[in-house]
Amino acid sequence: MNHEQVRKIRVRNLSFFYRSREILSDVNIDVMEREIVAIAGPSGSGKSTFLLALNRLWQEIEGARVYGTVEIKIHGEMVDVMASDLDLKMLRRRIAMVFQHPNPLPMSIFKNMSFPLSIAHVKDKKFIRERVERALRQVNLWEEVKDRMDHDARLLSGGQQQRLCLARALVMQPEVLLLDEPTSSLDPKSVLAVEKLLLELKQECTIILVTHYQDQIQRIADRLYRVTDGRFNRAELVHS
Amino acid sequence: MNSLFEKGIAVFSWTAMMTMVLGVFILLGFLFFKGGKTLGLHLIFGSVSPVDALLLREQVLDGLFPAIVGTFLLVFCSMTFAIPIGVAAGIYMAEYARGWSRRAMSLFFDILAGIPSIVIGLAGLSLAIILHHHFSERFAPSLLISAIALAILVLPYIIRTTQIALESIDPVLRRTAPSLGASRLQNILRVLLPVSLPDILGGIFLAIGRCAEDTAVIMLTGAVVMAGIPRDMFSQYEALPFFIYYISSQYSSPEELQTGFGAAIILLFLCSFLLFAALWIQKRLVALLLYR
Repeated sequence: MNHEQVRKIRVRNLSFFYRSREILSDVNIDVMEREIVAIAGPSGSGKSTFLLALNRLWQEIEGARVYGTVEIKIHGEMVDVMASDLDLKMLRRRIAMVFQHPNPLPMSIFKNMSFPLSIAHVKDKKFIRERVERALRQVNLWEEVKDRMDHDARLLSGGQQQRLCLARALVMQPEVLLLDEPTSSLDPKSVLAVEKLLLELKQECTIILVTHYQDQIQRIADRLYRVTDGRFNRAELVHS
Repeated sequence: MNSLFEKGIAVFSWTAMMTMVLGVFILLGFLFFKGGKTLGLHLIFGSVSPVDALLLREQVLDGLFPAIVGTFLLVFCSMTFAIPIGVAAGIYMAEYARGWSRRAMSLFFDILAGIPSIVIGLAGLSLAIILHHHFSERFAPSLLISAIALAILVLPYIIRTTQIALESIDPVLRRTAPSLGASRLQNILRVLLPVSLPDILGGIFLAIGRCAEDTAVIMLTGAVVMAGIPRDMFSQYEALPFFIYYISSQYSSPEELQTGFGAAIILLFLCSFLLFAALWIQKRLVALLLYR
């Protein structure tokens, strides 16, 4: 670990229960600022569930309970994510998430993209248009959709939808990006483009990437955790 | 064997569907056969000129115009009461109620859905009497009391369809807006409700149909045969279903009975108009909320 690195996320003794089943067990990890942490493991081992603990999205799941400590540095200060009085809207605007399967809202492409800004009560239309265009350019989608921004986002192809969701997550310029297998529905060319984008984004935000692809981990990850039955273990990266 | 069983099921399903379609056509054919000849401006406006009737310059005494207006007003007023309350209660049931309170309220709404309309009518009449005695003599069986009673009658449909529509939304879509920083209310108002609007409208269609056709409630709470167009919410009124019921039970000549069949056709047209109007509103609303 580079000693100049600053801790961004601190997780201690994190356990996650869904009804009576333990999904995560005593997780302890640290994530540094501006690094890409990969989380790998078999299906159902708790990788995606871990992401839900970081932005407290588990609260939207009936029957979910979480114990332990999760602290994330937001606006330069460590914030206790588990605190009952935490402003969840602020937390989730600073910690963006991209789900495993594309989840465009049933709205136009533009409304999907501007949704995070509009719910944050941003009114400046010029500012919104600029942010939307910038985010779409970042994921190489702008040229494909610029002439049909009022079309239903669900009519885009699977790969385009996934890039739209990534762009939507970027529109608020988050400090932490949680990515749940974001390239699983992309073609090889788009995968490489997204990986290049993630390496660029690393300069301004911290990325936690759930992935199955060993070659992807080798290409872009700074640190790797392997998950087995809800237990996290640090693993060595093998760079070719 | 399995193939034969599958074919049997398919044939049974097809037969059931065709029986329904045939039933509707037979019903429509019978209505038009019996009442088609009476259809015309005379059935609606009687001996009064349509322009004078529409501008309320002259009262229609021998046509269905007051009953058509009364039915429109009844449906409009009932829906004005029932839709906001029903949708809000459905949202509460789907998004906020948990545990035993949710089970208790579900049971309550199921019981409410099972109450016969004549009992709701009786409750409406009792309400009118109580209000008359304790608040104002203006309260009596009227358009207002009928609208309240009908709203209570159709509330369970709207509550249940709203609740089911919201609960059946894909969990990933349900979590999308919160993951982007939306509050629970923003998620409900900006994503969940617009998405489930077509299903909620399904319940509202049923409710509109029920309000337009129910006779038991209105005969106890304000509908009469000759009231003309109601002046205000405290007036008695005429309504098509009550007119049909009255004519079919009290007719003095075959021609008068034919008028009843004509009124039934007009009631069908009116319900179809309300249905298409609701569909149009739904399309405009979804386009406005999600795509502009």
